[in-house]
Amino acid sequence: MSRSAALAAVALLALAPGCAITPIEDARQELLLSWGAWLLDRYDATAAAADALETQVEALCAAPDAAGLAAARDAWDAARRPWKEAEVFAFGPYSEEPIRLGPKVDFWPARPDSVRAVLADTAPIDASQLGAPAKGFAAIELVLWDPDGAPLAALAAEPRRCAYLAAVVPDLAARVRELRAVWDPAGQDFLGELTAAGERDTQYASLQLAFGEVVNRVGYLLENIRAEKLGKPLGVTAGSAQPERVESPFSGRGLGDIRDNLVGARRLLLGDGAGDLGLDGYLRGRGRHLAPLLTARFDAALAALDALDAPLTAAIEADPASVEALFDRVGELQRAVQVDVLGALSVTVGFNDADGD
Amino acid sequence: MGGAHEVAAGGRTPTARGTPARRFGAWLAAPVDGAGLAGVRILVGLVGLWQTLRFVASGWVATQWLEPSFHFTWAGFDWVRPLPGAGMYALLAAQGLAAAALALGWRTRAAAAVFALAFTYGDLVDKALYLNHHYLLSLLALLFVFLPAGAALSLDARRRGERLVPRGAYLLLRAQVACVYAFAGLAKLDADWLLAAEPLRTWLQAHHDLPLIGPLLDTPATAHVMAWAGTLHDLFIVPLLLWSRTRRLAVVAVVAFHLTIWALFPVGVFSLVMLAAVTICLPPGWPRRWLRGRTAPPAPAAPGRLGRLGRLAVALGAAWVLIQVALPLRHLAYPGAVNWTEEGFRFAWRVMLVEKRGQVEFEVRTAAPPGRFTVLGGDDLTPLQRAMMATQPDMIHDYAHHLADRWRARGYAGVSVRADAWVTLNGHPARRLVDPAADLAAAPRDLAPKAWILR
Repeated sequence: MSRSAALAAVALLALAPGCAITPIEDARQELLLSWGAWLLDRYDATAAAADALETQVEALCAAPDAAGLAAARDAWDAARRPWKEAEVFAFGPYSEEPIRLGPKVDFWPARPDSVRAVLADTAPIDASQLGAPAKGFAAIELVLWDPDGAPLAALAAEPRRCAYLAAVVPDLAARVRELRAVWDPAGQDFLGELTAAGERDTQYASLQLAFGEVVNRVGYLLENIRAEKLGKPLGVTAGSAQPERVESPFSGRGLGDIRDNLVGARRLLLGDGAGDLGLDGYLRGRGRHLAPLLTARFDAALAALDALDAPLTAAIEADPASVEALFDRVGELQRAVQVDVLGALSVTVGFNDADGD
Repeated sequence: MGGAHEVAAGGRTPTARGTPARRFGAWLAAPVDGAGLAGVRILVGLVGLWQTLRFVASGWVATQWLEPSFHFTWAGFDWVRPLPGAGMYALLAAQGLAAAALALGWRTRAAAAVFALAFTYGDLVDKALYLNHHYLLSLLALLFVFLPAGAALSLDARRRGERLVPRGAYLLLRAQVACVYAFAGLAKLDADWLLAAEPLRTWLQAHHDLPLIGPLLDTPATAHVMAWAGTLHDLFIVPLLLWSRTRRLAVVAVVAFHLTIWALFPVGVFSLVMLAAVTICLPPGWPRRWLRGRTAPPAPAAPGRLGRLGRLAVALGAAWVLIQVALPLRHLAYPGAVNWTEEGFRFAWRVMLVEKRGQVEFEVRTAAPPGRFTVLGGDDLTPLQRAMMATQPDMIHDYAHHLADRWRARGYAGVSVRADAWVTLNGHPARRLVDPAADLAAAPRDLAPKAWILR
């Protein structure tokens, strides 16, 4: 019996003999359910856009031309957006064995040699047999943008490229749907690991810990943006600039990926601007008013991002000071989340899950 | 001290003659029933065994000791490192066996010594693992090495026969327990705790999902009542337990207090340790009541008298108490609020007083070749180490030295390290903890007040 359950049992015995018990509606549980519904929606949008990408790729391969290529690229971008918005949830089935679907969808940093090895081969392409670096968003991006030359000409000259796309694009949609099914309460219900924590035996001992996992993940995402997506390419964390390490390097969507990450994090913390108040609604209910701080920090980070009008790789070389400014603004946002928000929630990392002072 | 089972030595009052010092010495040496001392020993041994087992079962040997590539060592104890191979498992095996032997009272002093050494060694591996109740367990085990804790209700006593123990043994343990509660209570005479009921209020809000009592716990009034009640409990529980007229009420209060803490907050075996230790404030014969007369104290002995060894014991006991009083007060020698600076925070029983969150980043600058590197948080630290470091200046300092060593090992010269650390304490707005211009790699690692801590 958990401590909370023990305390509740004592309270029930002492205070409410014969009373009917109505479960308390817990704002954290409601919030987790709302975030879960949003996550499933983002995966649905990704999978639907990946289906559209498949259609565009088929058309492109049937008649390679500039308009077809642009449409295929737009479709790839449309699939990428909801996927990157949901990156806060890059834990559980996304990253942990045995499922670990995240790298099969979005392997990064990209490994062009893995893709080129498949293109250079002659064996039939079976996406299920390909390693994570040779499929997913980055592999498709490389073929559609082809940093080595003209992608249209290459598609026309090398039929294997179309065969490759025909294999990996449906696989992308399938893997995203597979991930969605793992989270779906009607499927494998990983979401229930969070929302039912404390009620049944899940990997989180309490609802507070499950709640803390998601809020902590927002902080991790922001730190990851700084350390990996900006810091290493910029050279501030690695010593020398490594522009090739940016995300979505072939399409030049690195900044767009970061923007989508921020939009997703903002949605979780500040709501959808309509009825859903996000974490801020919960904080307000606890007497903590952090929305002005968070809004200012998100706005500053997005403004710094908007100030960069070139792809990230080019910006790092041409205007590193502006990229560094973005690095700093995201750092201030990270601090607001990891210090102010987590402090207000008392979502802390203990000696373990049970050993405090 | 009182109680039905205390043995009045020889039926006479041993304090009737001589100088005050002699009378006090005789009072300390007066033989009393050792059952109460044994009770604490048995309970502490069982808690130590339980803690050993859960440490292994939880996988903490790997996650807390073996897997981290960097440990925050204690000044003067930098040589304490995780033992290689299966060494830490062997250490825990010895610790567990010693805890069991302590509970049984088998080779009691040796068992206490092994337990104290093993348990303390494990805790000294990393500052991030510091817990007040771990420190108390180490202290109690160390005291059992020198006190006659195996004189009654033990395998040793079965072999040699039960003996009475000097009253001073109880006094020393009671002083130790009184220090814990008194300084915990004094530390709560603080604006955050008494006026804002923080961090209690924040912590209680996490339980608003509990049936029936959840909404109650969520109210500011509940947090304030619990904050004030907790302060009064800590300040007065020991005298209330010692005074026979209030003892029953105090027993109910202390049990309710610690069970409530155990149920509501993630404090590990803290409540068990305290409930075990506080039994020393009960009349010495209390365990015999539980044994329903199956054992009796030895016959009253001759009046106690302090020999040379006894006087040495009294001097050592007094020094122990003096240290236990001085350590929690040492923060007064440092400028600023101790809950913020944490200079003098540890070993001072400042329990449940702070809810801190922090974020720290380092900038490593090198002169040759010239360079500037940002280190976000610490890529070679565990989540626990990162969280602990982010709010504790001495750990930030330690890590800055570690980074400087790392860069020097890579061939850089003229290495300096600065920290950008922000912390929120008990719901206050976040502010800088460390002077971002200070080169922490050049700051000495000593006990002097740190000018680079922003107070």
